[in-house]
Amino acid sequence: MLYPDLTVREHLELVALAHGVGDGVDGRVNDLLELFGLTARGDFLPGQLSRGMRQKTQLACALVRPFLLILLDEPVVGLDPPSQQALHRILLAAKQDGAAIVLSTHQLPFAAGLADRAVVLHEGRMVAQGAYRSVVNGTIAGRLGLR
Amino acid sequence: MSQASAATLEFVRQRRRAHRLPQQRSDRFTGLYTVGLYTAIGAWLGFQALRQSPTRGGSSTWLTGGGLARVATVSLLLGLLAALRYATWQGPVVFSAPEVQFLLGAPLPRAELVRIRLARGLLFGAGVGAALGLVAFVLLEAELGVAAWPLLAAALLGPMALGVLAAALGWLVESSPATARAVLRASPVVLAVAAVAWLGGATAATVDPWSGPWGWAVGPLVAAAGGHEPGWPVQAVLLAVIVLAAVLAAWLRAGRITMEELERRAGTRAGLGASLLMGDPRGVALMRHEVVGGLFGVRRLRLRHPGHRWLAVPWRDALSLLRAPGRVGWALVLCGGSALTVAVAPGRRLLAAGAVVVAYLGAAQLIEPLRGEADQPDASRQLPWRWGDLLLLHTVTPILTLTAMGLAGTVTLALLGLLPGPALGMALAACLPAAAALVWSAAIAGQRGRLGLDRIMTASVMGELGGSMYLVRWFATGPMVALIALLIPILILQGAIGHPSSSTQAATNAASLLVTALAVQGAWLRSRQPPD
Repeated sequence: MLYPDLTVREHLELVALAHGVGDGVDGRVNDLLELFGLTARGDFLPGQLSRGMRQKTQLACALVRPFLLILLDEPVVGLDPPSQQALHRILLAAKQDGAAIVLSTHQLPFAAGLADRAVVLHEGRMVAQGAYRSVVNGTIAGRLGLR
Repeated sequence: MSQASAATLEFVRQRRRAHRLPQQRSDRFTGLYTVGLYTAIGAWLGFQALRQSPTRGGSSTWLTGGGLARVATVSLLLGLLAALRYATWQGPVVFSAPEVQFLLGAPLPRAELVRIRLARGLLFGAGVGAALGLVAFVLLEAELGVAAWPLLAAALLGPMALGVLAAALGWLVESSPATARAVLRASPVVLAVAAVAWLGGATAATVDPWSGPWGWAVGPLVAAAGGHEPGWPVQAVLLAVIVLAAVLAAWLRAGRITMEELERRAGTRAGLGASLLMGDPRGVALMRHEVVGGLFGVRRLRLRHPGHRWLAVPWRDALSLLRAPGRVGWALVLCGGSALTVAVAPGRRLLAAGAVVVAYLGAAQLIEPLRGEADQPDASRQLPWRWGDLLLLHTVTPILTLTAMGLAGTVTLALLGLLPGPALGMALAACLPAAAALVWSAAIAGQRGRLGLDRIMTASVMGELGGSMYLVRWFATGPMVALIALLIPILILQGAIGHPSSSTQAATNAASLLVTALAVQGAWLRSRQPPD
C-alpha cells in the first residue's frame, strides 16, 4: 500500500528516515531507484504509476531500511526481468551481510543461488524440506514437475 | 443529426425501453409529481405565512435600498463560481462508462452526441435558476407586496439566464484543461470580489462593465421589486447577449474533448454516485482532489531531512501540506475568522460555539495525511510505530502550523492596537493548547477511517431513529469533542472581561480545563488500534 500524496522518492525517504538510516538516505534511495528502474519515476505519485511500478516501489520501500530478517511473498510476480535480476542481487548482498531471507515463490530459477534451504508445499501440506539442492533435485520435486 | 447517429440512438433508446419495467416509468412519474406537488403547496403556504406575518414589510426599505442587490449579486456570483468549479471535475456533459465505451467508441460524430447532453445540461441550468428564482419571488412578493407579474418575470428570467450561462461556460471549462486550471486559480480572486461586493454595498447591480452577468441578472429584479434601477433594460440586453454568445461558443466546441477525458469523468461519476449513496463526503472529496491534482500535475518539492527518526512523520506531513497549500489557506480563513468572532463578540455563547465548530473545520483541513493513513492502515506497516503513536506523530505538523498562524494573528492584532497587554499575553499562551485541542479533536474523528458500506449497513439495521442517530453521531463526534474541550474555557474567559479582579482566577480555571481535556484527548488517541 502506498500513500497517495507522496512521490516514489518520498516513500523511500520516509521509510528510511523512520528506521533511522540517517545521513546515507539519499545515496541508498538513489541506488534503489536506479536498481529498480524507477529513477525517471521518482517524482511521480502512486496514482500516476502502473501496477508493476507500484509493486517495485513497495519492494524498494521494504529494502531501503536495514533488516536482519525479511519475509517476501511471491516478490517477482509482476516484475520485469531486469527488476527480477536487481532484486536477486540485492537479496544476495543482504544474505552475504548476514540477513535471513524467507521467500515464497513459484519461480524456482529466482531462488537458485539465493536459497540455502527449501520447503515444498503441495495442496497445503509440506511434502519435502532440506538443503535447497537436494530438495530441488529430489524425487518429490521431480514428481511435482518443479525441475 | 446524421442518419447514422439518429439510427444508433434510436436503437439504444428502443433497447433501454425494452428492458425498462412498466413499474419503473410509473415510479419516476410518481416521484416527479410528488416533488412538484409538494413544492407548489410549500411555496403557497410559505407565501401565505409570510404575507400574514406581523413583521411583514419590515425589511422592505433595506431590500429596495440596496440590500436585495447586494444579497442577490453575491449569491449569483458564488453560484456561478460553484458551477464552474464543479465543471473542472464533472460538468454539464458527463456520460456513463458504458456510453463512453460503446456509443462514443463507435464511428459516430462525437459533437452530435455531446450536443444532446449539452442541451440537457442547458435545460437543467435553466431549471435550477427557475427554482431559485421562484423561491426569491415568493419571499419578495410576500415581503414587499408589489405587482406580482413583473416581479415573477424578473425573478425567473434572470436566474434562468444565469443558469444557462453557467451550463454553457461549464462545458467550455470541461472541454479545456487550461480553462479549468484558470478557474481554479481565479477562485480566490472571485471570492475576494464577492467579499468586497458584500461589504461594499449594492454597487454591483449597475451596468458597469465589471458588474458582470451576475449583476445584470439582478438589475431587473431590483427594478421590479420597487428599487431604483433605471438601467435594467440595458442589463437585460447585455445578459441576453452574453448568454447567447456563451451557448453558441459551447455548441460550436461540442466535439472538442478527448475520449480519455470523457472516460475519466464517467469513472468519477460512477464513484461519485456510490459515495453519495453511502453518505461518504470524504469519498467525494478524494475523487475531486484526484482529478484536480491531475490538472496541475505533481509539485516537485525538496525538504531537508530531519535529524531524528521521530520527526520523519512530521517531515512527511509538511511535504503533504506544502503540496496542497490550499488546505493551509482554508485553515487560515476558518480559524482566523473564528478567533476574530470570539474576540469581537464576547458574551454571545451561541456565536462562540459556532466559532469553535468553524475552527474545528479549519483544523480538519490540516490532518489530511492522518486521514489518508486511516483510509489504508496497511500502509503504516512499513513504519516502526504503534498505531496510536503514529496518530500523535501525524498531529505534530498541523498543531505547529495552526500555532504559527495563531501567533502571527495575535501579534498582528497587537500591532494594530486591538489587543491590550494582559489579553495579549493570554492570547499568545493559548495558541499552542488551543491548536492542539482543535487538531486532536479532528484527529479523533479522522482516525476512524471512511464512512463505508459496513457502517451504513450497521445504521440501516438500527431502525429509523437508531440509524439516524448513529449517522448524526458519526458526523458530530469531532465538532462535539472540540466544543467540550474549548467552549467552556472560552466562556469562562469571556465572562471575566471587564472584571480585572477575577481575571487571574478565570485564566487558571480555563487553563486547567483545557489541559485536562488535552490529557484525555492525547491518551485516547494513543490508545487507538488501526480501523478494521
